Amino acid sequence: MDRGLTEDQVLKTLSNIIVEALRVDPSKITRDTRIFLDLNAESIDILDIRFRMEQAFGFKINQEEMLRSVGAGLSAQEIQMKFTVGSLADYLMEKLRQQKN
Amino acid sequence: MNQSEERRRIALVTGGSRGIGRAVAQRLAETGVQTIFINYLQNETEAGKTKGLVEQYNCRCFLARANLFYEEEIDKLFQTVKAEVDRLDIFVHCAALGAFKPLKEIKSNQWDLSMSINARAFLLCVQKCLPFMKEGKIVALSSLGSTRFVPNYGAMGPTKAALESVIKYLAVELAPMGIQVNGVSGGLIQTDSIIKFPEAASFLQEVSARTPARRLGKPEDIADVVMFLLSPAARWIYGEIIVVDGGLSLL
Repeated sequence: MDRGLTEDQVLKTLSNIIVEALRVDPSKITRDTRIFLDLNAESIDILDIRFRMEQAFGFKINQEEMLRSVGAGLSAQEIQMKFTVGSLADYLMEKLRQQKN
Repeated sequence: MNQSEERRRIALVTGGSRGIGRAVAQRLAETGVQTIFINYLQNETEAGKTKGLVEQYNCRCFLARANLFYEEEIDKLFQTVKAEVDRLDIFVHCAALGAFKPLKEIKSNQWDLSMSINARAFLLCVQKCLPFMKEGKIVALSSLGSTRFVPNYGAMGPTKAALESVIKYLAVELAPMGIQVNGVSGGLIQTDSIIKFPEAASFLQEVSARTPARRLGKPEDIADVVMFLLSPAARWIYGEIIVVDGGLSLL
């Protein structure tokens, strides 16, 4: 995939991935949607979403780094609160910038 | 490479960064295997530790990160093998993945992931091993949940049943080629994975108390039986699933 993607393109790709993996209604997906709490994703679903993102964006993702990107030193419960579609899109944008440089 | 080096065996271990895979890799190295390819999904640090253990025994070790869910990544794994060696003598499939929950609650994506890593990846890896194997020994790791009910093992048990069936079919198909295929079915083994069971502490305590040998299995308990199946002593064993569980399944 071209790495010069806009934020909107990344968000759209990510939303499609989440819809396909979790079989949720696309209308439920906004930047503020909490992936664990609002979409009931389980740890294996996060793995599935990660695999799909790796395929779509063409780079490897460290799961720990991805989850921790919502804030340093947070508990697992706090991560679940803050891990949103938007935060994941931001993480992907940052990774894409790193890939480009 | 001198003649004795040529005779030393070459192995591929999937899921080799931790747990049973690491124990198998270490045992292989201890017994004089020449080269081991360690496949892992993500944990480079742990894979590096396995490599360090293996290399203590004058054994070459190559780490190959590959997500076995995708066939193209399995292809890349075998490109890594091909770049270094022209044969494989041993393939051990330890990679496994699943959700620990009741089968009635499994979602289709979770089923697909489990089935792909636990059963399909084994089949695809064996197919891709064949050009490298004149004679060889293949072992896959199963678990008691393939044939017996284990609470919260619904995403894993059926995939291990599929794996065991693949083992038996391949055992027949590959026997004339001098390739043995077998499986090892463990009880509950103390690895990083078991803490993922819901209410793990009480569950593990209960299983340990119910096991006639009065403890949980260790990765080495399984690795030693894998090594037996890879040894000449197991030359007449084809398509068997050896249960290694401290007697748990007898009750």
